[in-house]
Amino acid sequence: MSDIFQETILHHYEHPSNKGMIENPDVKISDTNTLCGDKVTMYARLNGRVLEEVKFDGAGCAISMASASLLTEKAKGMSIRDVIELGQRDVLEMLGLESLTPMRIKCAMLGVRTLQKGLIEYESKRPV
Amino acid sequence: MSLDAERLKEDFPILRRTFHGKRFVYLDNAATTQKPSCVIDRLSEFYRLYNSNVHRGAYTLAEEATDLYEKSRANISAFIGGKPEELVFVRGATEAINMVAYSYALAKLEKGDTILSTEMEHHSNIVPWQLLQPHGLRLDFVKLSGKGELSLEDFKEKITRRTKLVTFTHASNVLGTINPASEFAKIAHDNGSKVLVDGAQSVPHMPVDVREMGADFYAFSGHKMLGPMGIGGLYAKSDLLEEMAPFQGGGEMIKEVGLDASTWAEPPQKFEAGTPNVAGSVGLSEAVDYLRRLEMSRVREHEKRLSAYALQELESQEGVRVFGPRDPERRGGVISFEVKGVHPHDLATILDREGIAIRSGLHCAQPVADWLGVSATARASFYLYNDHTDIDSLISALGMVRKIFGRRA
Repeated sequence: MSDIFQETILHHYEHPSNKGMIENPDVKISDTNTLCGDKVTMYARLNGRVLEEVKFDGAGCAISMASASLLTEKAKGMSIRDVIELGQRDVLEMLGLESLTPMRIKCAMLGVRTLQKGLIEYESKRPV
Repeated sequence: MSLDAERLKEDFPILRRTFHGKRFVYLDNAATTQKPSCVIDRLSEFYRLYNSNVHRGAYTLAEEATDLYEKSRANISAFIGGKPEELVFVRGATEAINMVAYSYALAKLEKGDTILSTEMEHHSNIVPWQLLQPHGLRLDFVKLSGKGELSLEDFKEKITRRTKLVTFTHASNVLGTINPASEFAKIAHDNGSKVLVDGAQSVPHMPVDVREMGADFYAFSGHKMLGPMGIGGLYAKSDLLEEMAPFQGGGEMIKEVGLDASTWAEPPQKFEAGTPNVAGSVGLSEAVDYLRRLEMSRVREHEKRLSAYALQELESQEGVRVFGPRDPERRGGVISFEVKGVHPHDLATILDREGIAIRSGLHCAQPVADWLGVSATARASFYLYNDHTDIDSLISALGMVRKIFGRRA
C-alpha cells in the first residue's frame, strides 16, 4: 500500500484540528472540488496582517480534509503574504508526501487555495 | 447458454495489463468500455487500406470508404431497430442530445413550451436544456422516489399540454435503474409530446428496439459499447429529421451553396457537417457485430446474474451501503455504494492499488447525489467481460479498505 494513507493523513482525517466555525470571522470563504464533491469552508480571524485563528469546516476525502486540518495549524501565526505564497511543495511537505497524482493534488490544494482566495479578497477590501 | 466471460476476457488485450503488480479488474464500464481486438484491428485496417474522405471523389478508394461508412450506418441503425436514414452519426450521446436541443427544440418549439426531463439524468440531459431557457423554453424535472426510481405519479402530474418534449435516461448511470421506457413513451405520446431517450447506458447492455419502445429520438455513445471514442448516434424518426433545422453548417451537409443562401442535403447528411469520423463508424460497426454474435439478451442475462451476486456480496459487508433498486430485473450492472467512514475517492485510490478500477465522485449526475444526500459515491459497473472473480476481488479489496480506515474504529 502506498504511503498516501499514512498515519498523519489518517489521524488528521479522523481527528481534525480546528474543525468548526469562527464567530464573526474576518475571512469566511467556501469552495468545492466539483469533480469529487469535496467541500470546504475556511475561517480566519486576523490581527493586523497576521492570522490569529484559523478554522475549517467541510466534508470530503481524507486528503482534502487532512490537508485543510494541517493547514489550520500551519497558517496560525503566519502573515497574509506568507499564506498566499504557499504552493504545492509546501502542501505536500505538510502532508508528508513526495507526490500526488494530478487528480489528488486538487484535493490536497482545496483548503489552501480557498483560504488564499479569501485572504486576497480581504486584502482588496481593506482600506490602505 | 450463458456467456463465458473468462474466455471473452481474452478478446480484450488491455485486460491482460497489470497495475501495481495486480491483475487488472476493470469495473468502470459505465464511463467507457474496453475494446476487443477485432475493433482495434478494424480501425487500424481502415487507416491502412481504406482511408479516404467520403461522399466525394470519383476514385475507387473514395467509393470504398463511402461504402464502408454507409454500411456501418445501416448496420448500427439496424442494431437498435432503426432505418439507415434515421441514424445521424455524432461524437456521442452528449452531442446527440445537444443536436435535439438546438435543431429540434430551439428551432421548432415556441416560447413557453416545456421540456420535461428528470432528476435521474446525466448532466448531458440537463445542461443542454438549461441553455435553452434564455430563449423562453421552460424546463421541468420528474422526481426521484423510492429506491431511486422515477415517480410515475410525479411524471403524470408534471406533464402538461405545454410539454412538447419528454426526455429521460433509459438506464441510470448512478443508480442502475432501468426505466420503463415504453410506458413513459406512451404517456408522453398520449399527451402529444415527443420523446427523447438517452440510451448511453442501455444500448451496450440490453436488446433495444427504438420502434417498439416508441422513441422519437434515441441517443447513444459508441465508446460505451466496445466501439471507439468520438463516435455515437442519434436515431430520429424520418419526419422529425426532415423538419429539424441544421445543427452545424459546413461541407457535407449542403446541397447547393450560394453566397446569399444555401440549401441542405437530405437527412442524415444534413446533420453531418464537415468530414465525419469514418474510421469511428467502421469501428463501431465492428463492435456491433461482436455484440450481435454474443446476443444482447445473453449480455443482459450475464449482467443481471453478476449484479445480483455483487449486490448480495456488497450488502453482506459491514459498513457498506448500496444505492438504487435491488431487483436485478429492474436494474442494470451499475452499482453505487459507500463504505462508512471512507470517502469514495479514498476508496478508489486504495482499490487502484489492488488493480481494481472503479469510479468515485458525482458521475456527472449531481442532482442524483443531492437526492441521495451524499457528496459522492463509489461506483462499480460491469460489462460482458466481467465475471464472479472480479467481484470477489472487489469484495476482498474492501477488506483492505477497512484495514486501513477501520483501525481506530
